[in-house]
Amino acid sequence: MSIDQPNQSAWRAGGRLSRRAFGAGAMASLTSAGAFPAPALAQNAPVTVIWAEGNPNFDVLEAIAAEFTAATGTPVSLNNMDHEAHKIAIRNYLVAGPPEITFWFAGERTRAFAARGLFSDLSDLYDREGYAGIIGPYAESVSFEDRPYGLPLGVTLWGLFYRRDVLGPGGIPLPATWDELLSYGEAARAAGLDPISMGSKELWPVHTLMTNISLRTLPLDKHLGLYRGQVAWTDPDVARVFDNLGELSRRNFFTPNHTSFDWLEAGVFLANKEAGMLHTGAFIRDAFRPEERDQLAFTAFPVFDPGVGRSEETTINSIHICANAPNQDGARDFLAFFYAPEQLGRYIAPSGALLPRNDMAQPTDPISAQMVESLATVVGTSLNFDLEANPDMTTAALPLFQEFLVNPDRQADILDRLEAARARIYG
Amino acid sequence: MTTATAFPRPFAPGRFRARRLCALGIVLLLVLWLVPFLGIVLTSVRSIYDITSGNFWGWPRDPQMLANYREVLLGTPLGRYMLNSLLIAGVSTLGVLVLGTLCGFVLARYRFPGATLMFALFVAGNFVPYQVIMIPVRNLMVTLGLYDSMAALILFHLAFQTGFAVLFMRNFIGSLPDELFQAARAEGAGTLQTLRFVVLPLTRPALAALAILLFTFIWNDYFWAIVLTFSDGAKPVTAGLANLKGVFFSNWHLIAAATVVVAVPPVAVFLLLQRHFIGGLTMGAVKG
Amino acid sequence: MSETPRAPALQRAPARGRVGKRTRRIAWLAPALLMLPGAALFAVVVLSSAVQSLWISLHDWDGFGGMRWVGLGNYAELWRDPAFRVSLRNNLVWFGMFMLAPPLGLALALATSQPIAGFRTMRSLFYLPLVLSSVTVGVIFSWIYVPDYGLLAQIWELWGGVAPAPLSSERWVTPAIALAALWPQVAFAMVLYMAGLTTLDAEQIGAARIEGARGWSLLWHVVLPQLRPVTLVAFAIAALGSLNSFDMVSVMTKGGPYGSSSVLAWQMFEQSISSYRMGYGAAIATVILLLSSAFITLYVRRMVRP
Repeated sequence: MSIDQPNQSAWRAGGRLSRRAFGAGAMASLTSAGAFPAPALAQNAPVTVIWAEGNPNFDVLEAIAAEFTAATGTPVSLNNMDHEAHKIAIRNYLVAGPPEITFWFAGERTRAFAARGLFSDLSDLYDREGYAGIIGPYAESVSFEDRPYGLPLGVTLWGLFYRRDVLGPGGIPLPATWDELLSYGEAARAAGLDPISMGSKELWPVHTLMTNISLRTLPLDKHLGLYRGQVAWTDPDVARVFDNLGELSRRNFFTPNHTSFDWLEAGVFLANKEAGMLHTGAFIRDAFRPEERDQLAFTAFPVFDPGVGRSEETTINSIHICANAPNQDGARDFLAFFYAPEQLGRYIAPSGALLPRNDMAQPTDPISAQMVESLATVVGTSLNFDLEANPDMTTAALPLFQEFLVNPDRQADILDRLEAARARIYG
Repeated sequence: MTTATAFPRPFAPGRFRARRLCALGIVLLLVLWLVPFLGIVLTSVRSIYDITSGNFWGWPRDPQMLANYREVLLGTPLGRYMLNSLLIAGVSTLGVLVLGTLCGFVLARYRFPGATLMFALFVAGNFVPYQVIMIPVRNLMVTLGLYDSMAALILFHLAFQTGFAVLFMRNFIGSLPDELFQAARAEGAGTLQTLRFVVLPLTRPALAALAILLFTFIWNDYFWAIVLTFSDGAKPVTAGLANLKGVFFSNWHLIAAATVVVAVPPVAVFLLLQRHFIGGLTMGAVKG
Repeated sequence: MSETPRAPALQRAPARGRVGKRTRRIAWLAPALLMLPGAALFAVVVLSSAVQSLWISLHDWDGFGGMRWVGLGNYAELWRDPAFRVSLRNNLVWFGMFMLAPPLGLALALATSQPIAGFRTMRSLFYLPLVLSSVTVGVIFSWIYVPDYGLLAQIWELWGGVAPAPLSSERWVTPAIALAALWPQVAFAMVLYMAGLTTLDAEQIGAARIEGARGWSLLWHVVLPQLRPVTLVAFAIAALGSLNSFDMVSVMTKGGPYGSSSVLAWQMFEQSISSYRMGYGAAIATVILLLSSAFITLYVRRMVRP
């Protein structure tokens, strides 16, 4: 087996290896590839991309990069990185040696780097390609001070997943309101199921659930105000959010000992019919055996208060140009190429997320169709807590949410501690 | 070498039953000891659906060992990453052995003002947590123009692990009897000659053990790999294969297979070097 | 292959007297030069970075922009921080458990030093935990502890009954994680002692045996004193490991449940990297250094004692 990658594609000879590591000129390998029409093209400055989204889409990204190089002659250097490692690495490379393109998250995550001048202002690209009209409301999630600093990628809608052969017609009825949710809980327990499967070890299943509960309890602007540190945690309305979540906890809705379980194990319980529902996004599909996948179904989160307009929880990934990268023009060209409907569709398809462009056809499988329909009639959307709040607040708040889920009686104390953190962080 | 001078006392030649019982006991202990490792190997044989259905310890439902290992060995740039790691760990280990022995020797054999302080600093360096020197070290590598290169990792490990090596070697050299050094001096040996003819032969077991430990630490380093490199050309295998972890769920079966594969070089180094300190039962008296 | 550890006679001894003075004057040169590369590298990379981080701990800094002076403000806040107390307490538990590593390592080294066929291979197998990536080890131990599906749960059920969930228990989570980290630590100590056992003085042992020493008393009075350098290193590294115990906590519980298993190294990571509070994280790191300095002083004094 040779050192080089097994599938040798023409662009890879110039693309994969880092020039910096060996100090060798890239141009030599590029011109030897011989796939390019004119020698002059070999003069294009390279575009470096850092990608850390997790595996399913990487092959597609490689293909897209290859097509870009073939079309424009600009070599693309792709770098794949572990998701957790990326969170550490990004803070180093944005300052020390940024690539042209990086994949990251929308919301506060984008704003944090945009505010520090580490992401490029993409207003010019938006004007050139007319993105404002195409992306619509999602542009807000990648903007800072009304200017765009990135482009949104896959949109994941969060809701309740269940098995058709356990819930729904013929089985336990699906809840659509708060009262129905409570009686669902009793029915599930009686049938020997955990009403809502929960694995809180990684902390994010808790705050994503809390987000939906908050959206059902509070009007959208108050909810966003809370998440962005403008509303106090000791506010009486906020207490209602915790009352609701605490009520579910006291009624044993959640998997016992959920602090021991990963999200993965929570999915196991759903698949093995030990739990009725799981609050998650469409990526749960990949955890089901292929022959069982059609048993998986989706339902929107129940409505608690008809007076509160319906908003939904989403997570949005994003793509950015780093402000200090050398090849700003090449980066914009790559981004425009990548974000074109055909390429973007291919990239997002494996993850099962929804598409951010309104000029593209959304996936047509039943679950996606339901999600699209749901999003079409919302008042607004919110990202989950981690993506909306200041990172420092997130570090402080997430364990407190988990503690609350296990000990709902500590509500007053936990709210006080949340408020103390907010006062320190947001001033 | 008689049995009376070895510790622990080996079994007398005729005591078969005792010997066999002892061997059996050790084997049982080994099995218990390796339960987690067996878990890893078992996981490397599973399909992802075994894992997503909670079958962590039972018999794999649809074993796909070949597919997993093939995916790890051929479907990822494993060859490139392993070579990077070999280069980084190999060069660093050799360098640290040299630097650590030199400094350890000087600190062990020479008294001068500040010697104790220097030794204390070397020891203290071991206790510095990685995360807190992340930015200063990164800045240093950027200044030196080494950011995102294997040279940055080599430089860091050379510097940091020297602290550990000095701690280690100073002890060993310090425990060598004075008489040897005096004899060498009496015969007119200079510093370098003392090193070469007195210290090196006697500290061979220590050097071998240190080499094994250093190689393993550096081979398994993950934090600095992700801080100082991000390009495939420079990444060692720890960072490279972490790509198998996804955002929401990870391919634990592939990660387990990768763990097994990546464990091979340090184990090979161990097997290669362990004869230097297995020779304990035949090692002669330390006194000349 | 055994070597006579005798310094071979040199071919030509330099004449005394005339050379003596010159060699005495530059006698310090050779050692200084020998030390220079290692010491310089160490100072530049490690020491200066540590000093910089001490400087950072006196500021409020997010790692990107300007640094704001706060003096001892971070330390004051740390003192009042309940999470800090939890971390300290947990580090103590880790320390206590890790002190078991050298004795266990010695036991393993002794147990496998019999000249019985196949022991050489077995020794290398005992070493395995040390070469496995800590992420995978952490996950496997999580799978041992996880309720219902874990190995612990399944074994418990064989005896009837429901296993406890160690990773959910505020009380037992830290010992459970420390046990996972202890596994490679014992392997480490074993390798050290394997090297150490080769340096035993056969004459002393033989003499002690003639005087009637056996088994435990032989171990305690004759062997262990000879192994003192190894023991000191083993304990130093065990202490070091217990203070820098980041990997397992990160993989197995992320400091949970809700911060109950947090240790100083984890809290520092969270504050520096996740919360973007480099100054506060640096303050925690300084505390780690202060705690270990007590140990370092003890250790260095023992080593330097003639």
